[in-house]
Amino acid sequence: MSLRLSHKIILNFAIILIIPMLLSVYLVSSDLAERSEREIDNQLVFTTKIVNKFFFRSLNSIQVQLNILAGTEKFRAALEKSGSDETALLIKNWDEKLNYSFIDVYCQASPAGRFELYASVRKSKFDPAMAPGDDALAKAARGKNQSSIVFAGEQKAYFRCIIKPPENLVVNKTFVLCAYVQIPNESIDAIKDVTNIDVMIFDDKISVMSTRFDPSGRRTTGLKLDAEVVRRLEKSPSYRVNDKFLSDYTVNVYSKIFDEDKKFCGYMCVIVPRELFAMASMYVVKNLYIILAISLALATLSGYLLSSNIAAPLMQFAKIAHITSEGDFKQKVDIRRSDEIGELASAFNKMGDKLDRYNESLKRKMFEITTLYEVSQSMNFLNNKDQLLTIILTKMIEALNAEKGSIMLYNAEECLISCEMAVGYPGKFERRVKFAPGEGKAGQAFQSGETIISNDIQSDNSFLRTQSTQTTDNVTRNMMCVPMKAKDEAIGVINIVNKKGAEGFNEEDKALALSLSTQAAMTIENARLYELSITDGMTRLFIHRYFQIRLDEEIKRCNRYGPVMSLIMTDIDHFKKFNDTYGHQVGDMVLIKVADIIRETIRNEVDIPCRYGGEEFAIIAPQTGFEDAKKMAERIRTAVESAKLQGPGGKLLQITISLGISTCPANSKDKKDLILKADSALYYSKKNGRNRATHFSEVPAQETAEI
Amino acid sequence: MKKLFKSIFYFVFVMFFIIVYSFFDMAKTTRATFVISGILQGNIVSYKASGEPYRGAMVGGMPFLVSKISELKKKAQKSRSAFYLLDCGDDFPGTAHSYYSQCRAVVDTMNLMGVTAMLLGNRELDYGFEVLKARARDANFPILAANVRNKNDGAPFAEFQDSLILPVDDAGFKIAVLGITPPETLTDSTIKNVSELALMGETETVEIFKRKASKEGASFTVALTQLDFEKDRQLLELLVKSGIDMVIGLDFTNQMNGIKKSGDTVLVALNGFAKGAQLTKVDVFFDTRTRRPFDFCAEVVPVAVNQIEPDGDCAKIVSDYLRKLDAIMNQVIAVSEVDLKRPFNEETNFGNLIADYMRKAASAEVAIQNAGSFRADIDSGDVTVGDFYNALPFDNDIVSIEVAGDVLYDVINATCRRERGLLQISGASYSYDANAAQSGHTAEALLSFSIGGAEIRKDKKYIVATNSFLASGQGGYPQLKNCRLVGSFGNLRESAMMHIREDKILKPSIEGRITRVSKP
Repeated sequence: MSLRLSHKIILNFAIILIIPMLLSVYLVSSDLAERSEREIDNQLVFTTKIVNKFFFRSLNSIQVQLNILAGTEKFRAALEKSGSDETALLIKNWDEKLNYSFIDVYCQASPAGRFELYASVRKSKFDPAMAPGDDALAKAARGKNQSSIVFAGEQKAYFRCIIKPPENLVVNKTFVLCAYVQIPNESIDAIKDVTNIDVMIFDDKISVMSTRFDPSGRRTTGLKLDAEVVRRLEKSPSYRVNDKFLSDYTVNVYSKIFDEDKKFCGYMCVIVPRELFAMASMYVVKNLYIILAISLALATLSGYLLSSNIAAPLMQFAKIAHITSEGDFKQKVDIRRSDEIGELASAFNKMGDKLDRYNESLKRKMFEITTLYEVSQSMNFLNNKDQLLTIILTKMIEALNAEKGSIMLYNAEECLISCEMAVGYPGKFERRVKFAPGEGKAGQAFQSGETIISNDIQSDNSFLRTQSTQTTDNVTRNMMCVPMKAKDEAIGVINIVNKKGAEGFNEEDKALALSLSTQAAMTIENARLYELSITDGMTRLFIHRYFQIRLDEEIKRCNRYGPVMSLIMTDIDHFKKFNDTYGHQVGDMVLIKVADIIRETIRNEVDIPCRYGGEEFAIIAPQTGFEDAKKMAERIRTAVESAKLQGPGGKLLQITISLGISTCPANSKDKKDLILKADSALYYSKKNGRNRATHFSEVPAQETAEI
Repeated sequence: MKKLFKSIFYFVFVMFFIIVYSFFDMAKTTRATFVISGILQGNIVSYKASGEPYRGAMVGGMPFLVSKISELKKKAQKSRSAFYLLDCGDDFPGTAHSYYSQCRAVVDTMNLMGVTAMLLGNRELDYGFEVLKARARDANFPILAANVRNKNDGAPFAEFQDSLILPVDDAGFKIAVLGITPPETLTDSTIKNVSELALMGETETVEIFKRKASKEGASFTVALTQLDFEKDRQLLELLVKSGIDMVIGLDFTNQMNGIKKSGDTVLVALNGFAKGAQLTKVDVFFDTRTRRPFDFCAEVVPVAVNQIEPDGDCAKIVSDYLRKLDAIMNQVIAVSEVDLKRPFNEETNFGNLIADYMRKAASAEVAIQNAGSFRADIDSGDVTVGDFYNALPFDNDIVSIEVAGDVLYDVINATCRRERGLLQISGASYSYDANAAQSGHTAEALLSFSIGGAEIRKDKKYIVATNSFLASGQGGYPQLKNCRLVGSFGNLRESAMMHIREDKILKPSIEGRITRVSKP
C-alpha cells in the first residue's frame, strides 16, 4: 500500500496523539472503573445497612406501641380483675393504629408451669406454625422482650413481638403478650419514596414484600429467590447482581435479615438504580473520550496544516520536476513564500530558466545543423538550378521562420543582380527585378558582402519598392539580405522577408542565414561549374561525352528493368549551305536556334538533349517506345520547320532537319548498335528527301543492309 | 416448451405492468391512520376482563396501552401514513388511582400516549370542575369541547378547544377535528360539578366548526363524540346533514367491527366499555389530487397483557402511583365481624349500614341508596380503604332532598319492580309483592311502606337522604329530579368511611326493612 506524503503526515500526527490518548483513556477508565466499583460496593454496603436499619426501626415502633398499650391501667386492671373475654374485648377496642393481626395473651399459672393461651384476638386465620415456642415465652416472662420477623401464615410477613406487661398484679400468674403485626408495605415503600431504592424481602424461598410493581400493577411478590444468591450468601454477607427491570438498569444487593437474637429470618434485596451512583468514572471516561476526539481532530488538523505547508509544495515540486524531466523547462513552481520552501522554489525556477535557455540554444544549434544538413542533402541531389534555388529559399524561409523570400544572382554579363527565384509572393514569379550592386538593400548586401537586417523596412530610405512590394496585401515589414559568397566572391543575395511574429530578425537569425547562404553559394557555384562542364557552350545542350554516359546509363536501366527507351538522332538539312552562304555566324545562329527548339519541345527533366557533333543532335528519350518517339521526332521536326530565323539582310531563313529514331530494346540492346541504327534511320530520312523523321523499323531491310 | 416460455413471458410482462401501475397509483394516494382510544375510566392498571370478548384475560393498563399505541404509530409511519390518536374521553375518573391522585395518575400516563386530541366526556367532571381544569393544564394534549361554554358569559374556557386543524402533508392537506361533549353532561353530572357550565346548541356548534374548517382549508372533517349510533339519532342526523366526513362514537353492543355509513358520512366507534382494553384503528385513504377519501378500513385492536411488551417509562409512573395508593388503600379503617354483602334485589347488611350512615350524615328522616352503587362485598376481618373503595366506587355525594310523600311512595313502588335492584333504605321499611313485581306488570308492587314506624303519609313532605345520582333523577327514579335540594354532605364513600372509623367494629345485620311477600 503506497501512501501519499500528506496522508503519512496526517497519519503520523494522528498516531502520535491517538496512541497515548487511547492508552491514557484505557488506563484511566480501567482505574476509575475499579475505583468506582469499590466505591459502589461501599455505597451499597452502606445503603443496605441504612435500609436494614430503617426497616427495623419502622417495625420497632410497633413494639413500642404494644408496650404502651399493654402498660395502660385499663389493660392491667383487666388482666387482674376481669376474665379472658373482657381482656379480649379490651384488646379489640385498642387503638387501630397498631393494625395487629393476632394478639394472644399467654398465662403461666405457676413459675414452673406451662404457658397457656389465656385470651386471643385473631383478625384472620392463625397458622399454628407461627405460635411462639415455650422458650420464647419463658424468656419474655423473665423480662426479656423479643421481636422477630415471621414469614408464614396468610399475610406471609409478620412482625412478632413477645412482651411482658410492665407489672403483673395477679400473684402467682405471669402474663405474656404475643402480637403479630403484618409488616406494612409502608415500611419499605417509604424507603422507595425517599431514596428511589426498591426493596424486596424474601423468606427462605420467595419474595413476600416488594416495593416494585409489575406492569400489571401488582407488587412483585411471590418471586423465587435464586439458588445462586442463597449459595453466595452462605459465604459472604452480601451478594451483588446487575439487573434490568422494565427499562431501568439496577444493581441488586442481597443480604440476610437477622432478628435481635441474630437469628436468621430471611433475605433482603436492596435494588439501587444504576443511575443513582454518580458514575464519576463514566463522566471522566466520557470526558476523556471527548478529549480524545478533540485530540484526534486537532492532530488531523495539524497534520493537514503541515501537509498543506510541506507536502503540497513538495507535490508541486514533484509535478514540475516531472514535467521538466519530460523536457519542458518553461513550467514554474508557483510558490511565493519567504521561508525555505520559497527559497527552494525560487532556486528551482532559476535553474529551470537556465536549463530552458540552454535547451533553446541547443535546439537552435540542432535546428541549424539539421537545416544545413537537409539543405545540403537536397542540394546534392539536384542539378536543376531553379529547383535548387527553390529548395534553398524554402529551407531558409522555414529555418528563419519568415513568410517569404527571394534569391538574386549576379549576372556578370549585365553587371546586375537579378532575381532568380522567389517564394511566398503572390502570382507567377517573373525574373524581372534587377538591381545594380549597391542599389537597394539587396544591392548593398551584395556590394558590401555583409548581411543587412532591416526590421523597420518601411521607414528605411534605402529600401527600393518594386511592384510586388507595393501591393497592400504584400507589405514588407522587415527584411534580411544575406550575400552568397563563393571563394570570397559574391555570387548573389538571399533576401528573407517578414519574420513571423513581432520581433524581427536577430543576430541568431543572421548567423544561421549566413551559414545557410554559404552552403547555398557553394552549392550554386558547384552546380554552375558542373553545368558548364557538361554543356556545350554555344547550344547549351549536353556535350557528346555526357551523351555517351547518359545513353549508356539509360540502356543499362532499360536492359535491367525492362522498359523501353528511344534515341533520336537529328541533323540540320543543308547546314553547309548556311555556312557557305551566310557565314559561320549565321551557321552558329541556326545551331543555337535548333538547339533551343529541341530543348523547348522535349520533356523537361526527362529527355536528354545533346549536341552529337557539328550540326548533329541526339535526344535520349527514356520510357519512350516507337510510337511516342516517332511523335516526338515529328513534333521537333515540325517546330524547326515552322521556326522563323532572321538571316542577314532581314531574309527569313528556312531550316529543316532530318531525324532518325531507334528504340531499345526493339532495335538493339547495344549502345553503339542503337546509335548506328538511329543514324541509319537518319540516313534514310536524308536519302528520302530530308525534313522527315524515320524510325529504324520503317527503314526497309535492304536499306539497312546497304548502310 | 416454446408455448410455456411465451406464457411465462406474458405473465411476467403483465405482472410488471401491474406493479408499475400500482406504484404510480400508490403515489397518488395519501393515507391517514386514526387510532381511537378513550373510556379509560381511570383504569391505568391491567385488569381481568369480566365481559366479552376478552372475559377472563388480563387486559388494558396504561403501560400496555402506551406500548400498543407506539407500535401502531411506528407501523403507520413505516407505511408513510399520517398518524392521529383521537380520544373519546371519559378517561380521568373511575378508579381509586384516579380518585386519590385527583386524576393525575391518568393524565401523567396519558401524556405518554401521544394523544392528538381528547374529547371532554361527561365523566371528566366527576371530581369537580376545578380538578378537571387543573388536569387539562397538566395534559400535553388538547381537550376538545366545542359546545362547552361558561355559563356566566358564554365564552369558551381557556382549558379546552373547540376544534383542531391537523396538517396531513406539507402540501397543505388538512383535517379538521370537532369535539362535541355529550349533551347529557349537564343533566347526568352532579349539579355542583357543572354549575359553571352551559352547553351550546349542536346546530350552532357544527355550523361554527364548518365555517372554521372551510376557512382553514381543511378538506376532511371528523367529529369526535360519544354518540351511541343506535340511540342518539338526532345528533347523528345533524352531523350527517352538515356533511361531516367521519363521526367517531361509541359502540355499546360490542358488535361493531369496522365502519358504518350514514349518507356520505362514515361512522366509526370505540367499544363503549373499552376501559383501555380495546382501541379502534381506522385507515383512511385519500386521493392526493382531490384530497377526498376513497376508502376506509377499520379494525378493533385489543390491548392484551400477554401480547404486548409494556412501556417502561409508563410502568414506572404507574408503579409510583400504585405504591402511594397502596399506602392509602391498605389502611385498616375498621374490623368487620361479619361479611358485608352487597345488595341487589334484597335487603343486605351492607345496604343497611350505608343507608344508616347516609341518614345519619344528612340528619334525614329516611335514606335511600340504590343497589347498583354497591359493586363488591367485603369479607369479615380488617376493613381497608381499598375494600371500601371497591365496594363503593362511584363518586357521588350524599344529599338531602325534600320529597313529598306521594313521590316517595312512587319511588319505592318503582323500585319494587326490581328492574334496577331494590333501593336500600334506612329509617323506613317496606314490603313488596314478589309476584306482582314482574317487569311490565301494571299492578302495584308495593304492599306497605312505613317511615319511622308509621305508615307513610302521602301529603307529608319528608327529608330524604340519598346520593346525588338518584337526586338528579337517574337510576330509574326521575321523580326525584324535581325535589328540592336541602343540603349536600360530601362524598358518600368518604363520609361513610368517616363513620366506620368511628365505629371501629362493624356488625350490621338484616333487620327486615325490606320484606318480600309472595302473594298468590
